[in-house]
Amino acid sequence: MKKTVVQSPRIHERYIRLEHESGLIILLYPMKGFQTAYALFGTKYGSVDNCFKIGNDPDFVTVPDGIAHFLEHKLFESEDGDAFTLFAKTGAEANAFTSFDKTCYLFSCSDKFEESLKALVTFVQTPYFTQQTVEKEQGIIGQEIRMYEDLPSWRVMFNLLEGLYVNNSVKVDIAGTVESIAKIDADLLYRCYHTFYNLSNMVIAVAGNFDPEIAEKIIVEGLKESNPVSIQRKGYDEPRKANKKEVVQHLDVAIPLFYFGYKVKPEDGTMEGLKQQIELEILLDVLAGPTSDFYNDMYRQGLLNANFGTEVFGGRGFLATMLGGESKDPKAVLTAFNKMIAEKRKSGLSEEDFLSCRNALYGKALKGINDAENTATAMLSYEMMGVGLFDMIDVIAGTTLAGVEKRLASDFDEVCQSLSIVYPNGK
Amino acid sequence: MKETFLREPIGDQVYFGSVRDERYKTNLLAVNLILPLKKETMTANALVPMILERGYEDYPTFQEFSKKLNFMYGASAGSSISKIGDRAVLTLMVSAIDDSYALNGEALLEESAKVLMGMLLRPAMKDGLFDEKTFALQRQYLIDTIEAEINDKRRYAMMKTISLMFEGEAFGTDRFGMVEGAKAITLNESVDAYHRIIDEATVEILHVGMGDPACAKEVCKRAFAPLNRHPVALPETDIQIGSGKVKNVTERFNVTQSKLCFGFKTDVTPDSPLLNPMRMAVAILGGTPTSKLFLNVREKKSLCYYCAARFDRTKGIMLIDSGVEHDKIDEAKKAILEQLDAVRSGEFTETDMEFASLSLQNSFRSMGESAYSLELYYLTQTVLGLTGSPEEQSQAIARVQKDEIIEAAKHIRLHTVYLLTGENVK
Repeated sequence: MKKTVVQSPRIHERYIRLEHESGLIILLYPMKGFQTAYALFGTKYGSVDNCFKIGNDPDFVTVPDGIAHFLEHKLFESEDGDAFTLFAKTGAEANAFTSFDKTCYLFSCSDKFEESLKALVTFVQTPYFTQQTVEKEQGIIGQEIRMYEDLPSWRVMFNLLEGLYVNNSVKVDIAGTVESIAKIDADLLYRCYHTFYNLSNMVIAVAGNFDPEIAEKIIVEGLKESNPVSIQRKGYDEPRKANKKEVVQHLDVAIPLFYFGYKVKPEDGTMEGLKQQIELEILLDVLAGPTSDFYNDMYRQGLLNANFGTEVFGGRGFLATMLGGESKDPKAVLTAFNKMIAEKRKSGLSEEDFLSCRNALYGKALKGINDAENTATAMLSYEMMGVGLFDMIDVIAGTTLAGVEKRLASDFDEVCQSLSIVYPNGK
Repeated sequence: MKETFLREPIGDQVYFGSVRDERYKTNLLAVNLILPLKKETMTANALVPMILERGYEDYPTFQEFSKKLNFMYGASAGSSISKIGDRAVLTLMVSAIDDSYALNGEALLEESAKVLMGMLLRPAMKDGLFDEKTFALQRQYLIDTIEAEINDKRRYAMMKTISLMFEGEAFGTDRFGMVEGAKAITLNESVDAYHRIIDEATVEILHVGMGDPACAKEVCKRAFAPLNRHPVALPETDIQIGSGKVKNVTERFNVTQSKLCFGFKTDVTPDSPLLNPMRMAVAILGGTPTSKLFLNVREKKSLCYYCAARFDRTKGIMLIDSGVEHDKIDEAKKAILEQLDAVRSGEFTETDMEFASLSLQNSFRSMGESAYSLELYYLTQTVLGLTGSPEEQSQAIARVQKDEIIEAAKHIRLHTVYLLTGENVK
């Protein structure tokens, strides 16, 4: 096993990175003074991975939308009960989540860390799916899907993804649809499991109050025999053009909700990708954050309120910038935004604005590793991106005005822009 | 590691409390203004912090203020409003990274205290009035905020249930007040409200963070020293079990999933010996993924995606909320109430108790990991007149016996059943 200590001279912090023979990456970040420990066991497998093959398979297989999330629910079940019971015995709080490009199982505890870690490592490696349990889960997940159908803040975001993407399955709801999950059966779940839950595709991250030597021992002893596989995911041929200029839906909301943004071509290479995301984050803050002329003009005109935000939405094979909030006239906001972009492209950005936003992002990044949960989660996410947690802080500190201005020229193409609006019913 | 909470008076009904702990890389400073909860002042009380959070004398526009915060390494400043029993709490807070991480050695904690006191005591005013534009926009934002509560149906259903449980009372009113009230409020009235709040509130300033709070305490002390305030007495919270006559209300919306929400009253006060047994009863019933509601109503019967119970010790009420399919409402209602009856009649095992106890202990022990939750914890304790640390609560939970849990569950009485359902559901 290869062991490295990842250090940041800048903020005087460090963690341990282990590369197990199976290909599993183990990240251990003991934090002084903390009472809880937080651990995640994750796989690079999310809702976008619905067409793939392994090794020398002749053909790609396409699986139903929502299967990664379905698998997450089902993995909590074993032959002799529910994984939640294992954690209940230690008082740990256990959970799991599925995103576009990863699935993670996690727990947080203030006592009996060893037992909880053992339970996590064991249950994630022990699939147990039967036709009967699959059918029961279809009912529960069907209700989860309906819950999100009624949630305007969720709809407005997915409608934007639908507006931006033509082929990429990032536009499909993570949980799938009632129809798509009806096609899931135990065999399909096993097939996905044996592809993506191979240890070579997985990462374990632990942060907080624990002994790294004990954690390493528990993890390594708990690993099942696993030979690395090569997974090929079918890429998407995504045109450099938004799918739809506008997507509109009506729901029970008080004032219109909106999201607009650009589909962006991700840079090749992991460090370049990270740099691009951070440059875009600073750029969005300069252009439309709380210090910007744009936001403050819109605010004073009563077109935007305090519920307005910007985000860089990135993952394996997709990248977009998004801006959203509430407005009585979302289209007027977009028109003003586009006018501002055209002007800024001509005039350039102010050095002072840039430095102010870079400073702010540095502080926020530091706050992001302030507790065990955020630290473990960030460490795992950056590892899955192919970079280290502290790379993020170094890249922020090294960002230049020229780099950010370059993004303004390349990543804000109006052809790749779309607007999503949820209007109140009846309007 | 045990946190130590130190609190001392620094003025007339002005207190400074602090938990200093090296594990945080930040310092959080919050000034909490505690007032009696009254229907007639709620809307104006909600508007004032929304105006104060947008800037102050030194940085009068939001843009200037935001730039100031950016240069403090992305410090955040904001406001919130909440109810702790029958008391209104208006909060302004500033959070910044610790001085030791500042790239150029800036004194960020002291600066945070200056910003916080500036926001509270030196608002951006002209001729004794708030900036008219800021006032109008934030009033509209308040209206939008109240109206937008309908967007998230799960939260809306819970709020609606509480308002039905305390119809006509201040506690039943939205914490942001009422839309009609917000529309009617004038610039002068908002300024009067500001002066009344500063004059009458009991002030609890709290620091949670890595730095030495002495400098912040000094800034706050000096800021309050010249004021001649008249803090008002705070009422005891009214906690009563109610008559037992159940209120049933249904509302219809264009939704694909129904929300079924139960409101229960108890007579268990925050200082009652039944408090921890009650916490256990609620956890066994619906507080964990091994609780009765989760296992039986969701997992076994697949009736709901979520079905959970929670207890608000500040007002002695319990809520159960669930998301159910339109055609399973009656079945879910029956199943949920059956589980409560089971707890009342002692139908739970030693294992159920152990799991609930460990889960509650874990959440108390984890509280100190977030500066925000620790601040809220000590604020609530202070407002309720209690002193115990999370660790002490955790130990008390571990001592609860089965007969006490059954006894506590008998103090839960159903008051309201609220159903939010589709337009064409029978």
